Amino acid sequence: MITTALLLLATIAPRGDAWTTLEGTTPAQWRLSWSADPQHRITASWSTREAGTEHFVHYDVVPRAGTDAPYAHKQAAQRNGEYTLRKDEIAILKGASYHHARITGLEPSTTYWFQLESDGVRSKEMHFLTAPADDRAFRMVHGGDSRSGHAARQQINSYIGHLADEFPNLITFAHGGDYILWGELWAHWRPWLSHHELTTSPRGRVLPLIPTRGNHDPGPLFDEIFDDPGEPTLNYYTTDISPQVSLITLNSEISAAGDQATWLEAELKRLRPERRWLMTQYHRAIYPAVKDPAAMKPHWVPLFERYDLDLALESDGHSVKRTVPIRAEAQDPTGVVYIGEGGLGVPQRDPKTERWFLQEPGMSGKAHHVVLLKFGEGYMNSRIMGLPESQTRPFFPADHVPLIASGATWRYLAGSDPGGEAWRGAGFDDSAWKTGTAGFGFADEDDVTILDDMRGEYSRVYLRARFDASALADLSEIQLAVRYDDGFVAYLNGVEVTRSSVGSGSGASADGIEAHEAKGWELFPLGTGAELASRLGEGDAVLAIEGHNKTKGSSDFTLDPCLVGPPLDRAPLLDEAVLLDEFTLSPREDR
Amino acid sequence: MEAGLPENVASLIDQLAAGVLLAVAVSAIVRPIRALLLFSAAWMVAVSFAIWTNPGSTVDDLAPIAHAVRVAAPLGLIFLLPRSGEKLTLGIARTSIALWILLLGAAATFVAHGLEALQHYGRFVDLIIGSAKTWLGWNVSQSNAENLLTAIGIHDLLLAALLLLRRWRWVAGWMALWGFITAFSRVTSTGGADWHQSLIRIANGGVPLALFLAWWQLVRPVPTLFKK
Repeated sequence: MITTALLLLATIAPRGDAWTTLEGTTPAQWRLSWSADPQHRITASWSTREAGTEHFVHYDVVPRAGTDAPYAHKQAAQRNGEYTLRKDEIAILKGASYHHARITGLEPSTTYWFQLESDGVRSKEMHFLTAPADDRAFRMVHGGDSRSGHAARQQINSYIGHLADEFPNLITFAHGGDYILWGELWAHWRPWLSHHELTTSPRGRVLPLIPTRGNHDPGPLFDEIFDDPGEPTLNYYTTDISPQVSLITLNSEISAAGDQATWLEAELKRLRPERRWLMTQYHRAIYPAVKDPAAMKPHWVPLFERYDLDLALESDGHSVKRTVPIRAEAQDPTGVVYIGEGGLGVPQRDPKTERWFLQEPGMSGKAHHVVLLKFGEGYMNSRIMGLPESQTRPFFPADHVPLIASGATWRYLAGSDPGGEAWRGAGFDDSAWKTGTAGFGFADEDDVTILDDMRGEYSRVYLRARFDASALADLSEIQLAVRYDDGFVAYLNGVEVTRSSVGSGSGASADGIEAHEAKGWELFPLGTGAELASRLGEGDAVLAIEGHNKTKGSSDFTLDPCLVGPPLDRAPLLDEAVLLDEFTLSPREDR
Repeated sequence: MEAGLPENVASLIDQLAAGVLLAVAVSAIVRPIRALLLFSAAWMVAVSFAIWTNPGSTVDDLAPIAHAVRVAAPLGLIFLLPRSGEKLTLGIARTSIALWILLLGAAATFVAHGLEALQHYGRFVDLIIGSAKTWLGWNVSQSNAENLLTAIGIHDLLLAALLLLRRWRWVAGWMALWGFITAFSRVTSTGGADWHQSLIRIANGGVPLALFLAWWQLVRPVPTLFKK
């Protein structure tokens, strides 16, 4: 197995786009965001596993390129705090913190190079481009719904990162909401934040986010992650991306008819005479390809049409669509075009192609996608770019560098507890344990090593497998992939690295075990190969896993782990992306 | 699909359930069938728990009790149906059980809606603003709508408590009227586009109305089961 892994390593190029492990005060999970005045302001945000005491962003208009020369500017984070955790997350995640440095006084259309620093630990150097203060052409990307389909989410994030290098005038990424499954859980935000690092381009460019709140993003974490875009909990605001282009971000999760509608009307009235292009983004689709029209429709559409909105960017439906221009519930060349609606990783649904507003020249379909908009002086061009299915298929172990392959042979202990913690370490003698092929369990017909004496007798199973730690160093990312029912705790050379559905404790004293069905492979990022290699040292390392059933009487059990590196076969995303739709719009005075 | 089912399977289940529920509606009027009513109640339980376990809104944690009235309506009817060979006049015990189910269902739903109103749930704010504009031409501000929602929330909780503790006939009557008004606010706030949303909520007024009529008919406002 190890030989195979090394041979494969010799034939592939490392991805080089993995996320940073959240540990200590290493700046990780970085994101930039824009709300008002993106020509002169930006918020740089990041996470640390421990709270730390001093947090800065260093920035300048020239890169430091690995030298130790100080940056011209240094901004202390004005807002620091611990992420709000649910009770059952506190034992595992307490201390994880956010940091927001609000930078002002920037020059328009200028590239700034920056590093994040927490308690002396610095991130790699990255850069961003400020918004233009003149009428030059620029691009932006829009997408929504990244709450499930983590493998596809990583792929499309990576694609966005590549777009940033491909198009130097691509300046921002507007996210239409539903980042994660449930916004009150930092356990859900944590992988999203790590995966968001993949939108950083291979050359280190970070696209500032213009975030929208979706229906799956309730609670305080949204504001803690994006530093209160608009105002806390309200989250509606205008971003004047250029003197001729404004994006109004609305919140479909609060009252649409009240203060928000009053504000929207005032903004539309103020902006329409001054802007060539006026857009809005919000989460729930008003002219949907899949669901019923959102409840905001009677309150917002009359305003959109009265003030001649050009484009509405929608999400939530998990499909691709562009409507015909709509005014007064009919196709009208002077109407509003609604485009979306959600493909940043979520499995796609079948659009209702018979709906009148999706007929030609409109379109609908299903594909993981982004909307790439270009604003020029005499036109606005929209291209919906889809990733080919081969790029977004669900995680499959054989597609990745195997460290402990799927279906590998493990040592296992079932029916008793090993006692103490020594069994988790590399030096433990497991020769008395049985050997079996993954996965382990009973019922559901999804296991290989059948534990037919488990039900009613015991609820825990312990696994150990060795792998060559020296194979790690050149791998960009390491993930534990597990199919499990109900929970597990995983250790690398005796140190806990991840757990799921086990609230606290371990072995016989584990507590808070929640029911969980083994529906498919679930991924748990463990960091870069270099980080793990430095921690584990040379030679053999041991992955030890304890699997837990909620009760002895549970009707099934599954524990099927494997340890993998980056994908083996990674075709260039930019070359394989599919143009799903393209349309060009003239300014209103020319229509 | 959120439950791990492929979309086409989930869609098929949804369509089949819709077909059966239509049959339930027709049969409930023409000739109620226990199995269909039981399916209807079970489906509503399943739907509410699916929402509860896969929330997509801040008020979805109240879904199981908010849906209680839609479960109670078919369940209550099951107990009111005469068994084969039985006379149409039912025994007091079964009538009491039916009324007990309806009472609990109505109270639970009013509690849920009361709590949602006290949270100033955005959709409720918009129902007030939209209805006032459509029917009265009034521009109600968000703060006034929220103040009204606070009052409505207290009102709903009070009605639920009175129904449970006092079981006054006129409380059931007022709940019926209020249940219909709030159900039809989906239509009045949008001018009719959301008529099906009102139909889904018809039991909000229907179940309290059944209690009101039953207690009127029985003269005694207290179901036998509650008598000391």
